[in-house]
This record gives sequence, structure tokens and C-alpha cells, in this order.
Amino acid sequence: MADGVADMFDDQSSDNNGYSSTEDRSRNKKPAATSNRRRHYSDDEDDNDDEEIDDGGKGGRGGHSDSEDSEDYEYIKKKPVKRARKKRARTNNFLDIEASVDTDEEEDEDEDGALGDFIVDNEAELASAEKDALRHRSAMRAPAGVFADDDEDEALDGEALEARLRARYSGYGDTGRATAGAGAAVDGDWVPQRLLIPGIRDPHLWVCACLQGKERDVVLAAARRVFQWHGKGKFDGVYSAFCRDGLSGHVYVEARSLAEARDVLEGIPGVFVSKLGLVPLGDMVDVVKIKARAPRINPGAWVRVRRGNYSGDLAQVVAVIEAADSVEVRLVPRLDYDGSSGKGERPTPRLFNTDEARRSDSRSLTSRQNEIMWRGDRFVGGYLHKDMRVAGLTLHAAPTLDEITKFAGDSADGDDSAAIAALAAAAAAADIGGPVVARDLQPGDAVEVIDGDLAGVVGVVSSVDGDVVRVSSDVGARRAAPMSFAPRQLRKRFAAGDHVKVLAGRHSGATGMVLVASDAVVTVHADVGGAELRVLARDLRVSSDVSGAGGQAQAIVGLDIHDLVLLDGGQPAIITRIATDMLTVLDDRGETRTVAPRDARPTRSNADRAGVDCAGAPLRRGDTVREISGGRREGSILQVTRFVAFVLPRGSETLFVARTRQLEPANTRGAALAPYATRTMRPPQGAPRGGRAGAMRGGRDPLVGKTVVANRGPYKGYIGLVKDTTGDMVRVELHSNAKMFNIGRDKLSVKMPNGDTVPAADFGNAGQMPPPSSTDSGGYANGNSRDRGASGSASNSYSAWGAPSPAPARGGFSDGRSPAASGGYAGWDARSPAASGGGGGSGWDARSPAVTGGGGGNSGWDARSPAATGGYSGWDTSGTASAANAWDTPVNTGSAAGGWGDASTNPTPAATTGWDATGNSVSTSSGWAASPAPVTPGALPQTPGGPFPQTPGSSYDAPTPQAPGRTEDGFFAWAVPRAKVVFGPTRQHGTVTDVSAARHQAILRLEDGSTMAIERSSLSRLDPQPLRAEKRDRVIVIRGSRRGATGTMVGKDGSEAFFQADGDSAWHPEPLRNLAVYDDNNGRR
Amino acid sequence: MAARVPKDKRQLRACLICGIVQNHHTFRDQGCPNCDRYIRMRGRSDAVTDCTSAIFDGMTAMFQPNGTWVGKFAHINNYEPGVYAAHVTGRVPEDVEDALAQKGITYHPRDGSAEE
Repeated sequence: MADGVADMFDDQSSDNNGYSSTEDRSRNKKPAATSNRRRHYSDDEDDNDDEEIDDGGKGGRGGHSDSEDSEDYEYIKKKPVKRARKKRARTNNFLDIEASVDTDEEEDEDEDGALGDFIVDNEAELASAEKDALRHRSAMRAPAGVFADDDEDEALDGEALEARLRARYSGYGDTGRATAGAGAAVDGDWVPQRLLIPGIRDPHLWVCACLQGKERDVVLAAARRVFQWHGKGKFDGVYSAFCRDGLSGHVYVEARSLAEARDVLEGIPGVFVSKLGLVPLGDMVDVVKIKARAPRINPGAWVRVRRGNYSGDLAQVVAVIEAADSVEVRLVPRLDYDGSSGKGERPTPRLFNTDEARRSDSRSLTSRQNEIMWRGDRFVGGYLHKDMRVAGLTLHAAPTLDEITKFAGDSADGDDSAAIAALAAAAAAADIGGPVVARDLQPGDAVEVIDGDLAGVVGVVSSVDGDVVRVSSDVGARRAAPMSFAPRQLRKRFAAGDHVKVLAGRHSGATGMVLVASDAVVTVHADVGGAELRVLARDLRVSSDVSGAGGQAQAIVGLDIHDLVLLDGGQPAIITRIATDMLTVLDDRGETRTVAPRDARPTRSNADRAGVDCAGAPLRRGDTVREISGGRREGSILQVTRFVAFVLPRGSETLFVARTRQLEPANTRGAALAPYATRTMRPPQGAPRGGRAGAMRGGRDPLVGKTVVANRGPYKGYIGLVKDTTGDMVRVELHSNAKMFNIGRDKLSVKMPNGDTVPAADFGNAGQMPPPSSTDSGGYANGNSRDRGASGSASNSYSAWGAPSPAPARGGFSDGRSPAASGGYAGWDARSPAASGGGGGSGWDARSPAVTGGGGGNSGWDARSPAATGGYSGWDTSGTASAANAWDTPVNTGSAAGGWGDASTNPTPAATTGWDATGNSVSTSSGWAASPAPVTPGALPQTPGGPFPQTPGSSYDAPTPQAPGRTEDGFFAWAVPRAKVVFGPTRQHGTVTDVSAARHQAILRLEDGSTMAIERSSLSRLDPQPLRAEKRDRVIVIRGSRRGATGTMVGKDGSEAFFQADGDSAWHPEPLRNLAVYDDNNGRR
Repeated sequence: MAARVPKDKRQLRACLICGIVQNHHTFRDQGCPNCDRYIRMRGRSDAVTDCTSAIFDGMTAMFQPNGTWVGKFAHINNYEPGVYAAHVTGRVPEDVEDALAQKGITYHPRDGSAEE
């Protein structure tokens, strides 16, 4: 049979010579010719056998076998004619005409007549006819070069041809079989499978179990084994072996006997020969036939990418590359032109930008016609064209119109309707646009066939039966019988003027009138609101409904889910569901009710409502809260009124209602909350705040607004600004590139203005820390002694007074390093009762207990201070007179224990005054001592003033105060009321409300409404500067001859500004530095 | 040993015309035993890619073209003995199909689209 294999090229003598190139032929000619000859003899026998078998098998089928028989007969009798037919068959080698064995005589006659010139009676004519045919074929030869060449025929002489033809057709007369004849090597006949029912004479089919996944290996192994032994008397009764992907775990062998089948399989790994059985005759076709077909995918179809950079993205099939089971899709590219997107995040989809690509990597940018190649990717019209395997795609993506619009994006130069139309048209044949499911279709729907032979036919659905839609149409005015279609072949049709209802999508429930019904997208004029809706045809249905108020609740009354409404009687409730004509609400008693939209009154100004929680702190929407009793449920507030909050638990859809008083913030850590906090702390900006005790609590984390440095993690060493905090997490904006990141609180340190750092976890814990207002509080609380001398002064005292806990204050005081601070700060805390004038004394007293815990001297100091304060207005008194007196007093009374009164250690000459006594703190107070010691309150301005040393270090070494002149020239020289200034480490804005140049004191009102004082001692720290004006700002002249004048800055030229005084039409040049922004409201809002 | 049985399962491809299963390199080096006289694949990698497919279902090892019912049912009994796929995904390119038609060969796709 080794020869027989080659013999399958029965045509080789002719065809190989005919169609192969010269060299092929010369290489193959000899063996082919010899094998051919041998083949024909043996083949004839085979054919005879086959015929018998076949006839036996087909005996039952009359018509078929009859015609075949008669043909056989004819073949024998009219040999020349039959030869001619064979010749023609050769010409039309693959035509089905020949394949239909049961063609009747009449047809044969006709064909013969039509091809009369081929019907020849002698060999020579036959040969010349074939020559002609071959020449003809060679002329029509495709130039592609894929096809074998044949230009040798001319070279053959008649004898050779005759010999060849004789050899070729010698078998036919005997067998009379066109199909089994060796002539049809490729597929001479094509008998429909339904006619190929196995007969009892056919070999049996045996099934054998094997390991799953090993089927192909088994078949291949069996094939090797059989072919190896072929022609050696072994496996002669075995005809084939096969497996099917759909029949896993089984291999089949076509063999005459069980023994032969077992022989073939025996010993092949993975086969269980013991489980070998016969396939019943009736099952053979089912076993062999393959029904399942891979889903076909058409160009224009929408798909979704499953994996990779474009995971989840919508893509459109451009072309199908079936052989490789992949498709070319187009995508909106996600390109990272300059590597700016971080690790793990993918760039946003955006059409390809040639300029950016060129800027970033011009070398890899090439273009060819309308294609652009960049970095190995191909772009057409801005879209990325990519070959993808079908296995990696989700077919039938069924995109929404929104998605398609986005996909079309800006490709259409703003005219998105054109883009949509184009896309929809492209997709019309695919699975978008048309109703893809049968349930969308109802009898009576007008439809258009969009796929198949009848594409374009318009009709009306007559019935829907499962997935079969019957459509009756009147093509050509003739009412045809209903035709059956698959739903995907149909698309709903609408005409302008139809009244329709939207069934799905964003506009679901809306009704309206069709304005434009182009392909798949229908423009509908909505009944309610009059908007033009663009809806896919498949989502529409002709309907006489007019959507009621409920269906359009969102459009009509502006209600949305989770909105707060007031029910009859003013009962608050939250909308949980909006159905047609009905709202489902959850009321303040926790009951779910269904109400008509007209019974639910929307509330105004959702934003500003706030309730107070168990601690009196405000609760706002979005706050995370926890119940203080009961189930201790936790969630974020969706809506809040004065009394109840509607809370959405995390990870749940079910709202619950809670009394606001039964809630506590879920993100605060300390449980000890001051019960009297009433307002939220503003972000502290380094300015002292007057919130009094507990001011830091109520939501705002003191860390917010602080400059922090990361100690650990990927951002270690980075400096940033705290933007927000949640529990243990802190959101930080980097200084360097404004990038935001989240980091654990424990990984941060707060950076103090003086350069120190304090662990953020220790910073500003409610109830333990000084209030957040002061940048220094942290440092203070940590007993950071270096902080004392200058900058720390204010905060220290503030915390001592304002903080609910005296602990830190004590630390500071007992250190004895910062008494001055307390004086100064308390003084210019304008909001302290003392500062407010009348009740000053009591105010001081009131606070004194808090401080009492501290150094022994404090109480005395405080207790006495009111007397001293009395004579002074508010803040003026503060750190100066009162302090002086206070300090004096303790000293006098001897109650200033500890470091304070330890005057003996004070090396300064002014040891006689109370100040000096306080200045005992060796580390910090030299500056004080250097300043003229105030003996009387009248001398206040000189006391703790500006010369306060910048750093403790300098105060050690240079007891000399800083030049007063600088101060005189500084803030107090130019400060005028209502001038805006910037100051502090955070360059906060404030307005000068009052200033006393003589006393070197000024009051600022900050933007948050609070006030603070500036005096000499704090100048160096705060460094107030006039807020520079910009064009058209209201300004006040702070220096020069027009000092005090107000007006408008009309422009500037370099450092020169043009100033137009109020009531004056003329402009005056004024140095820019002489102007400050003028605050008409004097700091009030 | 004339019948070409794939040596391994790597890069198996099935001819889109006759369905024979061979390794890609076999197609390239020796062509399709049945179709190469019409569609030259030997030595033409692109033709191999065009006219064969890696996606196919069912493998039938046909030992004797004569007398096999399975082979007849699969329309391979006129071909060489060898391993054939029952179902091949894909069609030959249109130009190839046209050229086959010009040679008088009716192309029967083996992707199931021409199911009787």
C-alpha cells in the first residue's frame, strides 16, 4: 500500500505534469509514472470489491442505486461517450453536477449536447480537446503564483497524450464508478452526507474509552502504528481511527472486527482497551457528524476585550482572520506617550495624537497612506487597530448608545451624530441595533431584515415562538407566507411620527414621538420635558402610553434616589426607589413606605443641613458614623436632618435610620470627647484660635493642613501637606509635584515650623493635645524644649489656657522655659475673656484651674492677673501688664515655685523686676532681660516685644535685643487698619482691624472670623507683609505721602503701580510696595 | 512510509480544502499531499497560512481510503491516507477560491457552512 499512497495521485501523470512547474515535474515524473501504472491494476480490484459492498449497502434505496446501476450499464456500452463525459468531469473537476450520481439520463443528454464539441469519438480528437481545455485553463491561471504552473502540455505529442489518457481512463470502463475511481483525487464527487447512511457491509465502528485529553495522541499513535504495518498483512481490516473534540474520553476505530480494533489500540498509552465496544449502526452518523460550530463573528460587531491593558474596553471588529482564529479590532487607544502615568494605572482611552507621539518618540513614528505606525502599533483614524484572538474577546458586547457615542468620541469632529450614524451603520449587520432577543419583539412590530438572503425586506411580526420570529411581509405587493427569522436577523423599524416608549437604557420608561429613525439609532422627542432622546431601535416599542409623572419623576420634580423629601406633615424620608408613578421611601421611623410623587415634597438646599451627634458635634452628609448603642451599626450619612440621619452601611444597600444623638463619628479614635464642642474646627493655619476647650474636636483632624514628612513606606522622606484624614489613614499632597497619596498616620511626622518633627500619631489627639490651631502645640506637647524660646511662646500659653487638659501645659511650665510665652500669648488671644474687656478678670480666673495643675506659680499668677488687666483693653493687657503683674505677684508672694521664681539663676541685669523673675529660665529669657524691664504697665510696649530672640541659641549668645529700628520700620510702621496682610508660616491672610504703632501691637481678623494679635514678640515669627495688590484690587496706601488713602489699583508697570484714589479720576504712580489690598469689610464677612 | 502522520502535536494545521492535518513545517516543506497540485503550498509559508487553519475539530486517521465509511462520510475517501480533520474553521481566501473555480474545482468549505 506504500505505493497505493502515492497512487492517490492518480492524476499525477497528467496533472502533475500539467500543473506543476518544470522542476517539480522532472523530479516527480518517474516514480509517479511507475506507481501509476501499478496502481491501476490493483485499484481496479479494489473498486470491484467496493462496488459490491456498496451495492449491498445501498440496496434498499431504490432510486439512487437504480440510476447508478443504469449508469454503470451505460458506461460499459457507450464507452467513447462516457469517456467524453469523464473528460468533461475532469475539466469541471469539482462540479457538483458530477457529484450527483443520480443524475438522470435526460440531464446527461442535455449536457452532452451543450458540450457537443467535447464529445468526440476518437482518441486524437479527444486529445486535442483536452489540449485546448488545458490551454484555456492555463490562460485563466491566476497570477498569484500560488497555483502550480502548467505549460508543458504543448510539448507532449499526441502519442504521449494518448498513452496518458489511456492510462488514466483505463479503469473506468470496468468499474463504471465515477466516485470510487481513482481519477477524482481531490473530490471528484460530493455525495451529501444524508445519503451516506452506513450499511451493514460497511466496517463496524468501535468505541474505546481513553484518558481525557489524550484522544488526539491516541489517534496519532494508532495512525503511526497502522501505517507502519500497512501492506504487510497487518491491520488490513482497519480503515480509520478518529476522535472528536466534542466526544472527549473516547476514540473510535473503524474496523471489520473487534480483534482488529483492539490490535490497533492495544498498548497505546491512555487507552482502556478493555472498554472497547461496538457503536450501533444507527449511532454511527451521530458519532461522526460534527454539529457544533464556533460562533461566527462579523466585521462591525462590538466586542469587549477580556484581558490586558484594554480589559473591559469596547472594541469593534474590523476584519476577521479566521484561519488564525483571530480578528482585527479597533480600539480607542490607551497610550502613555511620555511615561507619565504611574505604575499600575492605565492611561485613559484617547484617540491617537500624532503630535504627542512625535514629541515623545518621533523615531518610531511612521505613516503609510492613512495608517500610522507608532511603537509597533497601527493606528487608523486615531483608533488602534490590533489583531486579537477571539478567545480573548467577549462577543456580543451589546454596548449602550452612550458607549458607542464615547467610542465614536471626537473622531467625527464634534458631529457626534454623524459618528454614531456611521458606527451604527457599520454595526447594523452585527449584533447592535437590532433586537437581539426574541422577547423584545411582539407580534405587530414592524421589522426589517438586516441579515441573511432577505436583508432589506420589511415586514410585520406575525408571531414569536421561542427564538423563531415569523414575519409576514408584502414584498412586491404580494402577500407572502410568513417567513421565519432568528431575532438577530431583524431590527425594529420605526417611522417618523410613531409614538414610542423606551424599554431599556438610560431613558427607560420615557415616551415620545419618533423624529428621526435612521438605521439603528432613533431620535425621540420626549413627551415630558421635550428633550430629544437618542435611543437604539431595539430599546423602543410603539406605544400609545404617555409616561406619567412617576415614570418621569427624575425629570419632573428633580427627585433622585437618596434624596431627602418631606412627606405629608413634614415627616422626613429618604427616597430608596423610584418606580413608575411611585416612590419608595424610608421615613424617619425606619418604615418603608410607598408614596405618590406628589406626596413627597423635595427639600431645599440639601447641602447645609446638619444635625448634631451624641457629643454635639455637627453631622453632615458623607460623615462616617456609628451608633453608640444598639447594633452599633456603622455607615456614611446620606441625608441628615436635625434629628435623624439616614445612614448607608458600608458594603450594603440597606439604609437605616438613626437619631443623630445616637450617633458618634466612626473615625475618631479617642472616646473621651468633650461634650460641649459646638462647632467644627477650621483648618488651623498656625494661628491661635479661640475655640476654647474642646475646640479641636468635632470632625476636623488637627493634622489637616499640616506639613508632614513620611517616615516609612514608598514615600519615605517626602514632604507634603495633609489634605484629609480618615481614621488611621491620611491623605497627603506632595509638595514636590502635587501628587496625592494615602498613608497611614503612624508613618508620618508633622513638620514644625522650626524644623522639628513630631510623630503624627501623637499629634493633636483629641483631649490630650493642645488645640490644633497652633503649629507649635505638638512640639510643645512633646516637651520639645528647643521650641520654647521664640516661636513656641504663643502656643504654649494658648494650650495652657485653651486645652481641656492641663497636662501639656504643666510640662511646659514646669520646665520653666516658657513663662514668657504664656504671658504673651494669653495676652493677645483676643478672644479670651480678658481681652474682651470687662469680664477679663473672671475670664482669667476661669481658666486658671486648668493651668493650676502646672507650675505652682501659675495659679497665683492667674488669680491676680485680672487686677492688672483691668486697665487695659483686651489684648493690650494680655501678655504684658497682666503678665508682668502676675509674675510680679507670684514672686512677691513667693508662690512662684520652681523655675520661675528662681531668679538667682538669671544672669541678666534686670533681675529686679517680675519679668526678670520669670525670665529665670536660663535658656530663653535672656532676651527679655535685655529688654527694658517694665516696672509699670505703662511701659508695656517695651516689655516682651520684638527683640525677642529668634532662636534660643541666639538668645544665649546675644542677649542684646534685636535692633528696635527694624521693627519700627516693619509691620507697625506700615500697618493701617483694613489693610490685608499675609503672615505666618503658612502665609495666612488677615486684615488689620486695629493697630497701635506706639504700642507695637495690632489686631488681625483672620479669614475665618477669628482675631489675633500681633506684637513685637511675634513679629519675627509671623513676619506679616502687606498683601500685594493686583490690578483692579481695592487698595490702601500704606507708605508714603498718600498713606491711608484708599482707592483702586488700575494697573502696574514693574514695581510701579497706578493708583486711583477714591473719588479721584486721576491715576497716580505709586510703588507697588506702598500698596496693600484694602478690605472693605474690615475682616468681617 | 508514505502517509504523513504528524510527528507531534505542535503547530498542527489542517488544510482548508481537503482537511489533512499536518505540522506547519510539513505543509511548508512538502505541501499538501492532495491539494498541492492546485494550490502550491510547498515552500510558501504564506500560502500555508492562507490555506490551512490551526483551528479544527476532530482527527480522523484514514488508513484505507477504499472501503471506509467514515472517510466517505467525511468526503476524504478520495484523498491520500493520512490524518484528517473533520471540521476546519476558516475558508480559503477569495482569490484562491476563484482560482479553484477557474480550474473547475468546486470548493467545499470544511467549516460546516456547507452542511448538507
